[in-house]
Amino acid sequence: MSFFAIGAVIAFVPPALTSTRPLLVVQVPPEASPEEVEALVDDAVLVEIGLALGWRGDPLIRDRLVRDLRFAGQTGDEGTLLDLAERLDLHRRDPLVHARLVDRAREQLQRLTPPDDATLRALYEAQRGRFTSPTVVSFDHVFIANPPDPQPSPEGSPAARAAALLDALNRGVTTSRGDPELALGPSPTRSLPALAKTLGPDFADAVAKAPLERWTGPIASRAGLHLVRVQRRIVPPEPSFAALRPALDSAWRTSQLPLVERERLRTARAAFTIQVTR
Amino acid sequence: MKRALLLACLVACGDDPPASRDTDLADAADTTDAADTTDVADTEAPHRCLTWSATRIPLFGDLHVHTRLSLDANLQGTRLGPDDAYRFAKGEEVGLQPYRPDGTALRHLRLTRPLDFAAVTDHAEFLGTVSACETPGTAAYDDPECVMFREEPDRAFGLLNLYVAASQDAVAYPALCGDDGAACAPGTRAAWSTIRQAAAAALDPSTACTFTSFIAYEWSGNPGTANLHRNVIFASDAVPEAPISYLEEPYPEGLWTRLRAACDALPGCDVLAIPHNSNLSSGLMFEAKKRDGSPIDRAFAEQQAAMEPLIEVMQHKGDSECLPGTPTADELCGFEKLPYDSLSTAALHIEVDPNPNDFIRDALGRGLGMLETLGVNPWRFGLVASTDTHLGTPGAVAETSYPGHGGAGAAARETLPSGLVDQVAFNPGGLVGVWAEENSRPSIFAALRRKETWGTSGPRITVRVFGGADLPADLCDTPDFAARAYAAGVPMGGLLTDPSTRAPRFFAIAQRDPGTGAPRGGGPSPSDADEPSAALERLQLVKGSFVGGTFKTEVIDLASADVDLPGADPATCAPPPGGRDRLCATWTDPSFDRNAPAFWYVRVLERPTCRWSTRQCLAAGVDCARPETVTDGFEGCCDSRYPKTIRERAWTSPIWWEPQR
Repeated sequence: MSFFAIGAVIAFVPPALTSTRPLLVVQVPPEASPEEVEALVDDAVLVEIGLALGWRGDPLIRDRLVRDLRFAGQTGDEGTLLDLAERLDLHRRDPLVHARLVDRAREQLQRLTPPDDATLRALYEAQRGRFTSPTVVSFDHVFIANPPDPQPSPEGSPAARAAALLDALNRGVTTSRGDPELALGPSPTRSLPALAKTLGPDFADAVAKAPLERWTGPIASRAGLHLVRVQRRIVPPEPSFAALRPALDSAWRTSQLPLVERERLRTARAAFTIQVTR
Repeated sequence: MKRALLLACLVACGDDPPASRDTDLADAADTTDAADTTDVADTEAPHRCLTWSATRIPLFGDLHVHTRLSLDANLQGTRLGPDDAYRFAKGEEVGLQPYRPDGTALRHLRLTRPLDFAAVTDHAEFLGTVSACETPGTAAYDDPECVMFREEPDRAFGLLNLYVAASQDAVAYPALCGDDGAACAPGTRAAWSTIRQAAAAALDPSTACTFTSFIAYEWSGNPGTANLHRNVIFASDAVPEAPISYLEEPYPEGLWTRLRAACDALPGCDVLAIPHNSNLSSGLMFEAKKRDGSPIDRAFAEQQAAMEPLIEVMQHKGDSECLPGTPTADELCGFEKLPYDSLSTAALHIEVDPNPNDFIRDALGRGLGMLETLGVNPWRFGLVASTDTHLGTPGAVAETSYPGHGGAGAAARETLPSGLVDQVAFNPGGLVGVWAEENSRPSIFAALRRKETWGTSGPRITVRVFGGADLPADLCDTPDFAARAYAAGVPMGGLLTDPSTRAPRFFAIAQRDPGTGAPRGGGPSPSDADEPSAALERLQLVKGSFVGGTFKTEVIDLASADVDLPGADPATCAPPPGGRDRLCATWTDPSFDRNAPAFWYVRVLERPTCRWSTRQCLAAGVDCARPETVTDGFEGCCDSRYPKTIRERAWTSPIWWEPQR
């Protein structure tokens, strides 16, 4: 049963039975504002949650209470001293133990039950564009390097070289593969975003629009000129729901955590009859 | 009744968050040290990316990133968390400190080119402290140290760092955490969970494989403020329940043992550690001593070689490649050197000459010597670089838009910097490049393991080097050089295994960072948002060998262009003239001695461009000849010890020769 289901049960408890809810008396300063009263009630409820989690099992609380009582001259083994602490209500009144109980309660309230598939699928549908995979392109690549000097090289300008090479490649009369190139190589397969960050968005756009199975270009980049022959474009299949789950879970968690903590605290408060005294 | 009701609620709602899932997990268990692999990658190997390539693709990343979960970053006003850091790495704009009272940021930053991979490496030591002091209601929230954390962050930074600045046998948890750290343990686990979930969510699970994240943290060993820090990188989602910090394990060898033990108990887990900032280690990073003070032995050397295949050569806190004059003259070692020898001297700006024993080239040479004395080289390091940003901004390396990186550098917690954004000695840091079959965790982690990596001082210079006696001589002339070179030699990070007596040939090729903006030589002028880039000036091979008990080094210019031309004009910062888009060479080592262990690594230099400080001084109208223009915060503009221009660069992992014994 989920926390929400329990909250729903509490919410629908017949009024006649509400008197069975335990009484929680919260002492507040006389001048406390409504907001301060709310915060102190939350704090008191958190302490009750912390106690319900089992304070005797917490080494920090145990050490603190035992140390307090030994400082006060009490003797006996740890169990005896903890019994005494409980009788004296020290496990509620000690400020460090109090803070520790609140800490543990908050940790518990912030634990999120993994959202069910339906919840995440709804989120996925609502944010579908965010998880679309980019197109991947396989192509042959001939690179014509920028000349080292502004003057044309003996073989002519890069543009002239590219034009001649493009013509020869399309006629199938050359085996030249241009200049060595490190980032892509002669037969790359890359996503369009990867091409954009390697050689610029204009280069990626041009490859995205290039005809299939025909040499085309030259495409200018800051590295030089490029002739390309696109072999295939692949729209990757959507990642499986399981593979996307961490990203979906993160998005859900970011949006839900504050709401869930608030709702759980509200539900926990509903389990008590709260009496505020000034 | 009350207790039972609450417990019922809590049991029902108290499921743990789902463990992050990683589709790569099944493949991530390959822990083979592939340093000696000479062949092209196995085309039959399982792979999940459509972009898989047998000859491997270059990928750029940042493996050293701090967010608000790190104590020092948090105290400097960083509000970006791991999720935000990964969003930034993937190209989203983020807001940076300082923040207005309404919570909006006064500065914004975006990468013009997203990274391919990143790892958030928050300091493990105070993960729980930050959480405890930031979360009202925690046991430690009202502890005086936490009050100081929130109200006097500068004092808190000093106080809390004292806990890790003691000698290694006197390391203690902050008082607010209790003697055994128990009060901060939940916070540590919560922060670790945040880091894991952020990494899982950032990973691209599609077959387009556009981005990879790694679960990681920083072990911040700091005895006497000597920097012994290591970034711990995990291969997959299989990681220990909590990071092993300097507070749990103050010795590197203890860290390796505990990491290995923790990983061995987890199916699919693998891990490596990357030392960084040896330049600030006060002579300790390469001290070669065990925890009892005795010299390291073969077992120690084997353990370090297995756990630490890489070292970070460059980052925000300076360059650690080599110190000019040690051990041999190399004026190009004079690059981004900090005038400090430890973290405290750096943080307090107390100038101290760097310790000559703290630099990597010398350590590589001493490692060759230990091969002779111990039979194992513990320091057969590959090279990487990263930023060490403390703003949660991985890959923010552009000299043109440097926001400072905080950490040991300047902070901008409450107000915008009135002068230079950082101490003039610091710099924007670098990037790590890897040659991997695909952009996935298993493939990149394997590249890190086999050291097929390089570091850059920021620009995306792409570089390859292969070695082998059978390498063809015409590789510079053929576009399919990579397949031929893999077939005939070993890549960067590899070990020459040629049994012949022939000298090895080296093939090196480097390509400039194309930068961003319009194609050069035509089209519109680059906009302010563009990252300019510079042409290449030199392609060098740095050789180290251990001959007759002596470490010898030499630097060979394999190719160069326009070395004598002036660099960028600091008065305008216009791009410098000359240089080449690509430099390539093959070279056979004429002095190869098969009885002498040796290494060779490539260093690529750009033409000199304006340093970040010069650009900011120019923008502010500082003219050192007119003192009235040197306003507060811009004094560094006129400090003659810091150059106006720099030669950005790249360093490859070495290729090694180890004689058979």
